[in-house]
Amino acid sequence: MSLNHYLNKKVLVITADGRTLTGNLLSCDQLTNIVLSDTIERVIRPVDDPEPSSEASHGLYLIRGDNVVCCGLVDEELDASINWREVRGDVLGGTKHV
Amino acid sequence: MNRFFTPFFKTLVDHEVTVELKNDISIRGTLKSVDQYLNIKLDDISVVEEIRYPHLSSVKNVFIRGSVVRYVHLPGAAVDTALLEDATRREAAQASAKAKQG
Repeated sequence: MSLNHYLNKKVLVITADGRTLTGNLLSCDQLTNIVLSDTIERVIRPVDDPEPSSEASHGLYLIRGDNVVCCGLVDEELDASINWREVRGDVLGGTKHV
Repeated sequence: MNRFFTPFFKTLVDHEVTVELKNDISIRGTLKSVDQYLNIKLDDISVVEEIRYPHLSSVKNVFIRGSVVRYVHLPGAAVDTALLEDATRREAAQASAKAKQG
């Protein structure tokens, strides 16, 4: 089980505050702490937002386990065929309701 | 508790389930594995309301952290509810027996 099968592959992580990060999975552990290299944050904006969707490079990232919502294995071919700057969608909500 | 629910989920491996997360996203896919934290792995996923949530469009297999799961929609036909009730009663009986001993 766990994330070991995704090691050294391109993954997409959604965080508890609703961010979307992609990068290579360098390391992970029992608590779902995750280390990503070449991290790129995808900022997907709603249709009615005048600003375009965008991507931002962050480099090496450690995400603390309790901030991880899900970690998906990216189909790189499919991913490359999508122009993420043109993709519009709702802003993701957080998972912490306090 | 999980020595009960983890095996229960393991009986549903290879079935289609829909997992609703605490951020209101629902992900449908084939259940591939479940662990002690009720972390869930799904294959061939599709996001319900993908137009609103295109974020996972290029993802086919996903690991979901157990702590962010709100609901798991199960295939009714694959669940033996009588067996579940039995197991729960047995668990409760054991717990109360233990409490009396202590």
